[in-house]
Amino acid sequence: NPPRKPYQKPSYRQEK
Amino acid sequence: MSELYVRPIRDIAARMLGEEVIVMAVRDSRVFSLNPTASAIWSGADGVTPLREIVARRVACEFEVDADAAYQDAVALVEELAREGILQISDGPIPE
Repeated sequence: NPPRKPYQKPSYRQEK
Repeated sequence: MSELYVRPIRDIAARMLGEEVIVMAVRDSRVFSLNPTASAIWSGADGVTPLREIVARRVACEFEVDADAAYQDAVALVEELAREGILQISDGPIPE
């Protein structure tokens, strides 16, 4: 299996 | 345990840029950038695949995270996106 990526909590930002 | 289903609302335009999804709400021109984890969830949000399955396939397999923890984070994310008015959440499949 390919190595798993470091986890970041799912998030979003609103662009201006 | 009830399943959650998610689908983007109709009035949005979404494009993948690298590993991030950019979403524009057509009605008010607000633009959102989703990080890679949120983008993986968004990409699987077809209205018929349960959120738990989306997380298992697209997040827990790809990222270094426990499936249950990833699911809790995903629920928090989709609730926020629903509050922003760009995602529908239902406890049953969401038809097109």
